[in-house]
Amino acid sequence: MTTTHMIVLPGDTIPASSLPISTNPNKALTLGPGLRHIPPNTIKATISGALTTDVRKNATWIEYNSGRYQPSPSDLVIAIIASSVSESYTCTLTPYAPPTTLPHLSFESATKKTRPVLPLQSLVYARILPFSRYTTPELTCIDPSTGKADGLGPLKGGMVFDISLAMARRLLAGAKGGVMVLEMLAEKLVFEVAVGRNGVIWVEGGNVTVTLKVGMAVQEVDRGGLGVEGQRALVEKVLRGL
Amino acid sequence: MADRRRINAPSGGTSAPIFASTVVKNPKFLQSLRPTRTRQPDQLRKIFLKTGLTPSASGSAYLEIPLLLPTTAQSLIPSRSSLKLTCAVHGPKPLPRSAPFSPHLLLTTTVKFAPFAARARRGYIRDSSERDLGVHLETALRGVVIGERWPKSGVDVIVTVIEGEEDGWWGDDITAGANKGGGWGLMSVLAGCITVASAAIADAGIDCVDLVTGGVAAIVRNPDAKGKGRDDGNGEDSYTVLDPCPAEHQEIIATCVVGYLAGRDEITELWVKGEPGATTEKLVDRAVHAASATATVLREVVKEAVELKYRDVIGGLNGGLKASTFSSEVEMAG
Repeated sequence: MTTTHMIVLPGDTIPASSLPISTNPNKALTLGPGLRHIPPNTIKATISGALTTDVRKNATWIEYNSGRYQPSPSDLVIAIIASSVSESYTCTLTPYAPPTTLPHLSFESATKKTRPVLPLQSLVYARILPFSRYTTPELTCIDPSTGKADGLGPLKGGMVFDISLAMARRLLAGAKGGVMVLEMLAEKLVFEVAVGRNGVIWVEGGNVTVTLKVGMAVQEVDRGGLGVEGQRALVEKVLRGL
Repeated sequence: MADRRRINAPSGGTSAPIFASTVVKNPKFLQSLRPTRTRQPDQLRKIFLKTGLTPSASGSAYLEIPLLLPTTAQSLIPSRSSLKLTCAVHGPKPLPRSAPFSPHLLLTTTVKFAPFAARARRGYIRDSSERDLGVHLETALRGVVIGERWPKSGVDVIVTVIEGEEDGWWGDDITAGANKGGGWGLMSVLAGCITVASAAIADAGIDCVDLVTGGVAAIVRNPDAKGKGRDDGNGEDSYTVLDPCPAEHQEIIATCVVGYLAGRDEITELWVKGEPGATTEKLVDRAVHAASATATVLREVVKEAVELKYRDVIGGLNGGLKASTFSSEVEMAG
C-alpha cells in the first residue's frame, strides 16, 4: 500500500525512519522520481512534493502534481496524429513534449497493403515503447508479443478532457486511486472512457449530454480534490440533472 | 535607434512632474524629505513571495518587498521604491532541431525591466545591464539545477522587473551632481531575481540540489551623523547593513550579492561592487547571513504551495484506502 509521509523540499535529506522496511532484506530499495542517492547512505530530495512509499514494492518516490508530462516507457497515452511521414505517423502527446512516432504497421491486422487510414487530428490510444534517453519515443497500438490490440487503436467519436497528471495516475491505479466517480456514474449511464497518462481522458457517451456530464464530473473531482463522499454527492447531482 | 514596431515615447525622454516646493522654496525642505534607514543594520525588509501565479507557465513566482510609508508623508513623491519581480519558468522543452546535442538541460535566463520600472523610462529592447543581470542569474541557478534527467532539452527562466530598486535618492539628482558610483539598485534586484527564480523552479518541478536564495549586504557611510552600529574598520563611520535600500544611504562604499544554498552552505554566485578593501570577506559573510534569512521565508512559501497542491493527492490516496475498507465492510455485512 502506498502511504504518503511528508512534504519535502529540494535538498532535504530523507530520514531513515520514513523509508520502507522490506521483509526481504536482499531486495534493493527502488528510488523513484525526485530522489537522489548520494553514496554511501544519504538519500536527498531534488524536487518539492509529497514523499510516498510502497512497502510491497520496496519503492519510494516523490509525488508531484506538476503540469508537464514526461513520456516514460509502457505508459498508456492518448495521442493526436499531427502528420503522416513515409512509414509512420507523427503524434503529439502534449503541446510541449517532443513529438513521437507511430509506425503505420503498428495496428492490429495491418499489412503493407492494408494500412489504416487515419485523418489528421484524430485520436489514438497507444502505449509507449521502451526508449533510450537519446531517441524520440515510439508508440504502438498493438501488444508486441501477441499482435492483438487489447483496446488500443484509434478512438472514434467522443470528446477529450484535460485533467491533471496526478488525476490520470489515480484513475489508472483503479481502486487504490480512490476515484469511484466513474463506477458510480456507470450504474445509471452507459459510456466508454479511455485514460491517457499524459493528462487526457476520452469519453464517448453516445450523445452529447452524457459525454459532457461524465467528462466534467471527472474534471470536477480533479479540481476540487473530492474524497469518496464528495464524489458520491457530485454523482447524485449529475444524475439528478439528467 | 527608433523602434518602428511600437508607438514610441518622445525621443528626448520624459520626466515626471517635480513639485515646485522642492526646487524653489529652500533646500532644507528638500533635505527633510530624505529617507533614512529605520531598521536595525541586521534587519531585512519583509518579503511577500508567492508561487503558481501564471497558469500557462510550468512554474511561476512573484516577489514583492512592500513599501511601508509613514502615514504623515510630507510630500506626494514616494521617498523610496519598492521591489516587484515576477518570474516564469517554461520547460523543460525540447531544443530546436538545429541546436547541437546537449547531454544535459540547457538553462536560458532573461531579465527584463518593464519600461515603467524606474523613475526614468527604460526601453523595450534589452540593454547591457539587463543582459548582465541575466548572466549573473544564470550563474546562480546553474550551480543548483540537476540537468542530467533531460538531455536535448532547454528551460527558460524569464524574470520581469515590474518595479526596480533605484540607485539613489531622487532628490540627489536634482541638487547635487551624479552619485559617486552607479548601479547599486541592480544588486538588490539581482538578489530578488535569484530568490524568485528559485521559487519558480521549485514550482516547476525541476530537480535541484537545494533551494538557492539571494542576499545583499552593503558597506555604507553616513557623512553627517556619528557612526551607529559596528565600525568595520573601513574608515570612520562606515558600517555594514543587510538588505540596503540605496535611497536611504547617502554614501555607499561597496555592495555584495551572493546566491547561497542554505542546506549545503555553498555559494553559487558572488558579485561585489565598489571598494570594500580589506573587509571583503566580512562583507560576503554578511550577505550570506542575509541570504540564509531569506531562505527560511522561501522554504515556508514553497512548503505552503506544495501542501496546497497535494491536498487532493494526499486526500485521494487516504480516501482510496478508506473507500476500500468501507466497501469491504458493507459486503461482509450483506
